[in-house]
Amino acid sequence: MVTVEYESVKKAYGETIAIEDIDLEVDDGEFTILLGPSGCGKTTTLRCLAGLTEPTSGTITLDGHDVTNVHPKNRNIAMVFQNFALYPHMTVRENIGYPLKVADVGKEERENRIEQVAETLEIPELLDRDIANLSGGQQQRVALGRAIIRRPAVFLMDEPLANLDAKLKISMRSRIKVLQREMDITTLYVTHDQEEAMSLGDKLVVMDKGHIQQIGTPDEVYHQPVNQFVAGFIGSPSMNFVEVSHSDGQIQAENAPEDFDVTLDDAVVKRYSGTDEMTLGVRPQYFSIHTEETANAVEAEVEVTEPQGDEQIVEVAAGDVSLTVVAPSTIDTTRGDTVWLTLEDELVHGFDPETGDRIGDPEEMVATTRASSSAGSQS
Amino acid sequence: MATDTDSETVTPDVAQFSTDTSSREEALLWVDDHLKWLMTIPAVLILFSLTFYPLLRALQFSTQSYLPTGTVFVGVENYVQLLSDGAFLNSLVVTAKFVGIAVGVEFILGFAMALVLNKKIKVRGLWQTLILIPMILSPTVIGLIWRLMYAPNGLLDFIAAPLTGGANVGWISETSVALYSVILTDIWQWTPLVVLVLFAGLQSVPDDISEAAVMDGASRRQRFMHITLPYLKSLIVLILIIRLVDALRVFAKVFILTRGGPSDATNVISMEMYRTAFRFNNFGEASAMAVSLLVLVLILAMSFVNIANVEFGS
Amino acid sequence: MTTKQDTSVDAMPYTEPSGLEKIHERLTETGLTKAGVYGALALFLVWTLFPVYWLVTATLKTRETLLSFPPQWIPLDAQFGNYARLFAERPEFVTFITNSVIVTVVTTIVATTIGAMAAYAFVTFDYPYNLDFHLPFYILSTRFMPPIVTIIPLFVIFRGFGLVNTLRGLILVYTMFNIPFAVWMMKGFFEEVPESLIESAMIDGHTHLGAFFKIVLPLVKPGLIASAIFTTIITWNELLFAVILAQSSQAITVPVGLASFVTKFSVQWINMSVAATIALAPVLLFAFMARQQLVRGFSMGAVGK
Repeated sequence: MVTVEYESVKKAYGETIAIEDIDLEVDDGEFTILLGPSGCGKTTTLRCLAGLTEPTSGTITLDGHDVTNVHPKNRNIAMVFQNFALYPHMTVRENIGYPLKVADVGKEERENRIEQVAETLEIPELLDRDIANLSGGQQQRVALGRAIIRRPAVFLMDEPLANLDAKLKISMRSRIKVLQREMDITTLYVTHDQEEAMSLGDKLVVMDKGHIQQIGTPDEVYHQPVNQFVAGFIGSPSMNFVEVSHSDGQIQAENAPEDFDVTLDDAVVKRYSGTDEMTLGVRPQYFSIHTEETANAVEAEVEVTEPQGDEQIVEVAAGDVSLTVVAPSTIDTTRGDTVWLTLEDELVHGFDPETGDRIGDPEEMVATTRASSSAGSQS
Repeated sequence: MATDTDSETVTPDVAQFSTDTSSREEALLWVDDHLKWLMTIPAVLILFSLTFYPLLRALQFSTQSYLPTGTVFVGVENYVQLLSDGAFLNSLVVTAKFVGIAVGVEFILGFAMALVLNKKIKVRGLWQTLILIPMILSPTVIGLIWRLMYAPNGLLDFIAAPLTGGANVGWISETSVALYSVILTDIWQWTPLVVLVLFAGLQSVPDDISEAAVMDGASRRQRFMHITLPYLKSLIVLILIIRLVDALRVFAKVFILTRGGPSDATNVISMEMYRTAFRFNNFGEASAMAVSLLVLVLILAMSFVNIANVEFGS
Repeated sequence: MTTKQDTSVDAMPYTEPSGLEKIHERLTETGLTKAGVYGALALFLVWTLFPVYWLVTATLKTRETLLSFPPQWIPLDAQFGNYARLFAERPEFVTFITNSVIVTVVTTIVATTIGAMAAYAFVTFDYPYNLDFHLPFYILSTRFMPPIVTIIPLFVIFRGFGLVNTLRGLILVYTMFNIPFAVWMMKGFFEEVPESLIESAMIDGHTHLGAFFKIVLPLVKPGLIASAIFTTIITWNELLFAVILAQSSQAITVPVGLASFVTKFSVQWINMSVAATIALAPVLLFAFMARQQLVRGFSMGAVGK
């Protein structure tokens, strides 16, 4: 049973603050993803747990033991690095067995465990190869092998898939997920790839500018982003943000009050009562595109279309407002056409233009979100 | 640590933390905590006590006079003395000639050779190893080799015979010739370095840059002036500084070949310093010479860097 | 698509090569430039190597054939006995060699170790006041200082500590001498080692020091060897400090011993040649072993001695 707890952890390099106010609890066996753009502090957060970076203040506990100042070698933590960090002067076998060798585990048992790990990762035939002769995917597996051979208390991974090509990434992703489930080891995983994060994690920790923005399940951070940053970071293509004025359900874009002028559903309006200016967030998937004039719709001109197979990404301009829309490929439209966009208005988000925080009661959101997600797909 | 050999039920070992409080472990952790100082202190200490401290002492010595009864502070008197010391002034002229001619010829000859070899010769070749030889030989051995060649009736007298009609030149015994003989030895030793460095530099000029210049219609001469030379600029400055600084402190070659003679014709600064200090036991004036030499080297090196406006080590 | 651009070329599509270019092309085609280049290289190699050949062959000649007129280009009647005679006539030369070997070996080990440790620390750790950037630079700059500048104070200091005429004194000076170079050279090698390897080793259970010895040092072995060989050559060859700090026979090294052949009025040509050849043999051997690193090191202009 290994739980991890960060308590108001801070790391500063002189004047520069890398991370601050990090409070995080990871349950035993949980797969937690630290997600955020580069420079957001996610790797620093991970390295503090590994002991490779010493926090400026705050405490980190493993299972109730304060390990903030414990040497990395004494933490019983395994880590997979972005560049795999395999020892180039050793064979695959020596690399995988190295943590045991350092721990003075007898040769016989070491060999047994190496064989076992190699079986698990399906690389027994690679054992006596040199590291230099391995492909990226093979190196990745060796790195995983070296991490799991010790049966660590906590498993840390720092962008382990970043150096792999797209196809390999997806297959390794599922392998890591299966491995984590089977071994049931508490895992912290750093990535900047939100798709990877959504598909792997039990819990997502979205970070930006050294602070945790939101902690939640993949569903929660997608459907109930607490602020504009999380809303924009999660989801692909990114959410559209429009500065709007609001009165009694009437929404007008500030830069294009004539083209972007729609009335919201009564149920939705309640959320924004008392707000007359906000940033409206609409995911590209939550627009419906019409080629004929439609009531209560945003009128826009098509700038460019990018076919994606079943879908297409349509960039449109409503006055001075640029919007990205995901539409079925059956809609036939091309640059210069005029189109009308209707909103799945239960699924829009409103953000405070000053703070970026979400406006509206989250409890209520959950209900409306779940209820409408099936209805939304029919239009 | 319990051995769990059933791979299906792999469970993490119970988290283990620093429970080891043995003195060995404590010591290891202490070393790790202070590693950044422990690893640098020996080097810094040695360099401080054997380079910077003696440097300060040299400054101090240069303001003292050495009498049988002890030392006396004399201020800048040693430096003033230097200005009227014929042997020292002569050594400045000799050093200037030595450095100017030797480095000049080495550079021109070496650059020309590197240009000739560039592109037509295999990049890594036996020739590179072979021309290393003069550079790695001891200046003492080099001095002896050339003493042998300069010997009366020796090889160089034989080669020069058609010009001299068979009379011995007196390569290192004739006042008007000796300095040039010493310079020739230095040129022999160090031209290969210039060749190596500039050849490597020429080889590193990216092909696409010169190809682009070809596409733009640049002639060979233009490509050399506009592409190759600017590209090599910092390397040229570097090699010139290295050679200048090194030539300024020449000692062993002169010590073996001529001991500064005949009639001080080859008496370079280091030689004069050596004699002043260890023959005439005049540590004060010798130290003043040493400090002057250091200042000279610094000024030369720094003005060079400034002129070319390149940064070192980059 | 509305604005039609003028796409006609502003010059002839093909320019006739100039006369000089043509001559150059012709020469290249006929292989003459190539021959010229190799000719020049051959000439340069003869000029560079012949003096060494002349020394080595001198050891096999007699006093008469050595300075004969015209010279004897190839030693026909090789006098190998010259080598035995050197040690018979100058038995102290054995001591010189022993001294040089001791000084060189100890200096190489100590300087390389100290230099490598410092270089690693500068590459790895952050120091206050940006010292990790400035210190290596200052350390390197000491190499540009003429060593003769410090020799008088060193002589006085060493005399105070009883280090004059001792091998310990020479070792100390030569260690100082070689550290800057070792630091600078090893720094480049350590920079190539990814930081994550050391971190990985620590997570795998090493202390940082353990990771340095078990993981980092094996990876920079080529650098260690190169740096050790440079140190060996520089130390073995050094004359100036040896002349001043070791004047009595118990600490005389080979270069000082060599110099003694020419202090007399009559130069002992044969003995001198034999001794010089013995002195240069290990240097050539080491240089050959490390030829690639040497070429690289010299080509980078990293070395100036």
